[in-house]
Amino acid sequence: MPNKRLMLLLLCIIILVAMIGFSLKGGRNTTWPEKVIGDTTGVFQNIFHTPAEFFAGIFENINDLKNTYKENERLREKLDGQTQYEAKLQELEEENKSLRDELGHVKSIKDYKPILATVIARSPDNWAKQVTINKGTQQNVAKDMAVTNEKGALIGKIKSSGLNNFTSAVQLLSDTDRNNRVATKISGKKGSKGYGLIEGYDKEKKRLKMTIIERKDKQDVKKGDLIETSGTGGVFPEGLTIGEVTDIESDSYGLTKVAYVKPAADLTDLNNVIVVNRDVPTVDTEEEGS
Amino acid sequence: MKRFLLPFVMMLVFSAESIFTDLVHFPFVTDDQVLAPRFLMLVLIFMSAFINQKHAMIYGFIFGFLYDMNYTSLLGVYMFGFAGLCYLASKAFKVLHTNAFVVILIAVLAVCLLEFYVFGIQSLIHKDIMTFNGFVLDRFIPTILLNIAAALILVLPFRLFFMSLKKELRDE
Repeated sequence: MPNKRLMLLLLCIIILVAMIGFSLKGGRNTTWPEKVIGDTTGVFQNIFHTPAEFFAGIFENINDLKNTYKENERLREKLDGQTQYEAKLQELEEENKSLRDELGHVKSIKDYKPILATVIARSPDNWAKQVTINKGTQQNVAKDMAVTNEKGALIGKIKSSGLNNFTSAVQLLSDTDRNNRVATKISGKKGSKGYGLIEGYDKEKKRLKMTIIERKDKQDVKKGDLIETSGTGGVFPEGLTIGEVTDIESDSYGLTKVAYVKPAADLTDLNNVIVVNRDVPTVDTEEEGS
Repeated sequence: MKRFLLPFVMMLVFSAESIFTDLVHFPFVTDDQVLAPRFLMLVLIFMSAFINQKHAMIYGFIFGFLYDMNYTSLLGVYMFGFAGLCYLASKAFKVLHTNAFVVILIAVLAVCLLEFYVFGIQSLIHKDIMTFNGFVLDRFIPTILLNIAAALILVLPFRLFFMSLKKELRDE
């Protein structure tokens, strides 16, 4: 019965298009069946991933042993300066705290509570750049929160359509999604230089594309300038490292400058990550959406 | 007994893909090249060759759905992709012998089709996600090579497992 088969095929295509359309809806939240299924597979992924990681760790350790001597030398040199810095840092932190106390309870957008998480899966098809972590809404993870690696460099944000009860999906900075935007602060050697907006990832250059929005005192953004989150985007706290500028170009109309930023975190090698839960309440996104 | 083992084995294969991308980094692969493991596709084709069409399509449908939910943000793509390719493959196995060589050939062919199908859908959604040349050179060829190697390794153990499973199903 070829007619019946043709009908079935058409029906499948219609359902496929409808489902793609549904999943492309911007900023949609996870539906409950997705949550249930996501959590269940998360359990299995956790079970299989932990021993695999253990074995991979052994190989890595053997590799590390080879470089130990050289690294030791280098670290010893660095360590001499370290104590000085530490003392200074403590002093400044105390001063900051006392000044804050004098002002009353002022919460800074720099403050955040870290939620430690482990990567349990990575998207194998390589079109969507995302990893799954083993923390979800039950551990206070919410959508659009910033995620950093162990060293505090930004790697991405929590995906609103992948947030389950016990696991959640992290959209990496290298994802080509147009909604992958971060408000940034540019700082040179002598302090802040202005603000920018990361507007996506350039696949060919392997760099984040950042439009420079505002320059303080007409200072030029240069190669090597550090890029951090500015905290003005609403959800991310201030001062998470993103990377450094490697290249500057004018955009196609010659009106604004575009800087290319090399991410500080190695996005292909992620193990333990930190979800950043900002202390200052975030703006309600319902109101924003217009 | 083996019938209840099957979902767990498939789940292991499902997780193995992500573990592979996460933890295995070959030193001879450059940053530009993408190796996408398609172990699930391979095993589903083995299933349609050594068990039957019904099993393969149902598992393709379910695990495709899981794949969509967990690893991509697009629902439906792999769900219909896996099930459809299983259907085509089992049609092919009706006229072809199911010896290991032919099965590997069909499985690799299915991976090729799957790659092009997903590339087509991705380039429909995101304009200029990748040029066609870039796709073939940096993604398609390395992926196929990896999956040929994987098929060579996986075919015999899965043949044993699926054959005995089929025998068990037939005995009941």
